[in-house]
Amino acid sequence: MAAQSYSELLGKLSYQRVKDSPTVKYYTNWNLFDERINIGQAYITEPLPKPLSELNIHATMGAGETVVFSRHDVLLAGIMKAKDLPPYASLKPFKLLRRTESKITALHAERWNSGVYVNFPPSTIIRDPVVVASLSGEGYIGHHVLVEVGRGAEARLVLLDYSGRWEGLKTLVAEIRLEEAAKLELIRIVIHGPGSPVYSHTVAHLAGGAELEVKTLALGGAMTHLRDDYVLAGELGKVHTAVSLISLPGTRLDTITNAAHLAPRTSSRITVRGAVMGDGYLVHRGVARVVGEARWSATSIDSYINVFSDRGSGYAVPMLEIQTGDVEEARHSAAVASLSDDQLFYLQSRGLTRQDVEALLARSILEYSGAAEAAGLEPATLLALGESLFG
Amino acid sequence: MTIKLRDKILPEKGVEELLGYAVPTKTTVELRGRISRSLVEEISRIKKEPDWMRRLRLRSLELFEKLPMPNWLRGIEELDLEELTHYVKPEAGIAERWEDVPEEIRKYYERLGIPELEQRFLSGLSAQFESETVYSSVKKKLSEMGVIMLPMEEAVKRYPDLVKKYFLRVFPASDHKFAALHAALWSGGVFVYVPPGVRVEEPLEAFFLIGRAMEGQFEHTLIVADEGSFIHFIEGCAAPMYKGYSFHDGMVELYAHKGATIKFTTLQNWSKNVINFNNKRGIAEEGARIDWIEGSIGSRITYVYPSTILRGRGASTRSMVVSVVKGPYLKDTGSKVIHVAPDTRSRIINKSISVDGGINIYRGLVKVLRGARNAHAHVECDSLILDSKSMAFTYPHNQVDEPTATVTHEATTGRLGEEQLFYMMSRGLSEDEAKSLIVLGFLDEIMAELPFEFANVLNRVIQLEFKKLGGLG
Repeated sequence: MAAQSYSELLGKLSYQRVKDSPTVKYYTNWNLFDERINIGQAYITEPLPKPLSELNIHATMGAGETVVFSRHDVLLAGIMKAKDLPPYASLKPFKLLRRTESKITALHAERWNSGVYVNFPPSTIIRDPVVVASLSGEGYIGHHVLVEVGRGAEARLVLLDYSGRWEGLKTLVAEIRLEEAAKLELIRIVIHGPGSPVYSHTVAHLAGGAELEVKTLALGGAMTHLRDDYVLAGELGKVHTAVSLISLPGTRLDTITNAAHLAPRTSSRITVRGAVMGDGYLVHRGVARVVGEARWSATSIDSYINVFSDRGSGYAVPMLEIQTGDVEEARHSAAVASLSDDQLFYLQSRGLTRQDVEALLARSILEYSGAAEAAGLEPATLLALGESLFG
Repeated sequence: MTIKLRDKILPEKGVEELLGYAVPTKTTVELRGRISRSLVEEISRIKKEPDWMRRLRLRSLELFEKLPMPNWLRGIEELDLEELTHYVKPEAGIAERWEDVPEEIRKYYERLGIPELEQRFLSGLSAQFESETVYSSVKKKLSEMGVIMLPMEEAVKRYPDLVKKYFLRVFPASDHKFAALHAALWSGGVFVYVPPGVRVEEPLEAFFLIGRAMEGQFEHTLIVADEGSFIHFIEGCAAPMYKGYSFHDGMVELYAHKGATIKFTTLQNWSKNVINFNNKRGIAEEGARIDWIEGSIGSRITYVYPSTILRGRGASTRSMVVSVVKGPYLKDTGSKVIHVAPDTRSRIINKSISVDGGINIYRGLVKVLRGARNAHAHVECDSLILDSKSMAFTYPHNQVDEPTATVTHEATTGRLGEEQLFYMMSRGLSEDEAKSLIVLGFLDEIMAELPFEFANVLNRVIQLEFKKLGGLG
């Protein structure tokens, strides 16, 4: 893309397509991204703090080239552009996501600086997770992750998405393809500080009989847009995602979890638990789309958000787009609430204070997805890390 | 008696068939073409309006010109506002007796059984044909209690201070392009005022008919229930069959003062020629209640989102919508509630049925503003899709800025349960009968809220729409 055509493209594209329906509004504050869209490239990487740095990390993406520690059982490669891909790689950048989907994806396509390619060979069973870390820096940082899970393979991948106090702008795009009967457990730890607005977009494409289990723990930053798109393209594909979301004081976290059922007898289950602290702002949106060909599919979205403060906001927008009557199950439920007086009274009569109850609830939300545990991390330590960034 | 009456109201024909093909009617004025300042001024002049209303129309026209076309609307590509007739004044004036309504117009209402309904169940009735009211009558008892029910134009002239206080204050013209268009071109509709403490137990009704293609109808209904009063208002709408399409862009504004209750029921049965855009909003003050009940059966495309702003402490609302789409048509509906005050309550129940390629869209909003302490909201949204080519979309938005509020939402989309069908068939029902019963059972919660006679009407309309499912009656 020539410089001129890139700027022309940015001028033409919007951050999100639909904005002024009677109810839809911008849940993401795109102005924060727009203010920094021409920011210079970052040259120094902000260090990864403990306890994240204590993990056995196999690939680290920062301001420069990706640092890779190879493994005998997985094909791992650092990439700067598509030409760096190993010859056996069939998944190229932007095969699963359109560059021109929005202004921010166009920005990423033009400017991303480092990435990693992970290939789990067919029929292998990998219990020891591959750990990939995406850091941030002062200035713009863009990371691109490509993951291929071969036919019949079983794999685990931990993705650490960290952005601290340094001021900048970060985009992280992950494209994941699961071949027939492949299984992937994706564990994602997202911790963002006040320094950068972050656009994090994962697209997963599932062939027939493939199964994807996603466990996410996200502590939002100044403005985090965290979007997952699951494409169930083959018969009997299955995705199950559990998400723990914590919006700390001073943070804004907009999460989107979409499932597109394109083939028969596919299933998706999306469950979200969220907590809003202080003046935090937390949104969970999700669209489950079942097209006419995806007969006898099942989909459900559950989204529960607890608001713990007088100044917090919690928004739940679970959507269904069902294009056939031949549907096995299609449902969603959502609740945005705080602790009711009755519940509080009951627990106080058992000797707990309001603070105790809120701390217990927040902890249960933090642990709900199982992401921290699966990554070998202590949930409370991650919460403390998130809080320290805003302290 | 009820069964007989019901049969008379709706024999074994759909409403469109019942009304037949449009017949020419005499008119004195027809304004069509570009929506301009001179067109708006001409409508105002014909209506002999006070200057404040003329200026209000012109301000709305400016807004219409400035506001963008909503980019979320589906299916309005064929709508060309410039080719519509925006104002049609029938030759007939406003009659107080049905005998005085010209025969060709009266026949439409008689085929629908409206005069009989009025006689038996209603406190008052207003009938609009094209752009103007052709019949208006209120029972003497109501007038004696101080209840005002007048065609909107009459109210503007006779009670300007009262009308000015509320008109376009509940639903401002600046909200969106079609609200501004309505405000610039409005014609017809009803004004109702219920004095403090007065209970209007028998419903009032307004019935709107569009009698020709390529026409826009822009009626405005404004209901003000003063402190502690009660009113049930019913609006019905229909159109005969014709070639081409027509456009409906009506508005309903409700204002429930302290402790008042307004129940607003709509039985929308436009023909498949009508693109229906209806703007409905109410404001409930302290302890007041607004109930919306909507049976949305007809039309080619419908956009309607009954909304309530709960402005006073302890105010409440309930919105129940049945939306049926049979055939290649679209309904974009949904309820909205804004909780502004503490201890407010809302409940939204939306049921949709899509069949023969029909598309139902639910687009809802529950917004709890900071300070609306202990607000409670519950949304239920169920969709039935009866075949593989029909669709249902659900877009609910739950936006909570108040931590002591509780907002819950449940939605399901499904098909007729095989187990339910099997059970009912094992009890001796045919498959068609079982299906028909399941559909009516699905809607039962909403049917129970309608006055008995109107529930029967809606029941029959749905049976007619789904008659291939069974011959229940």
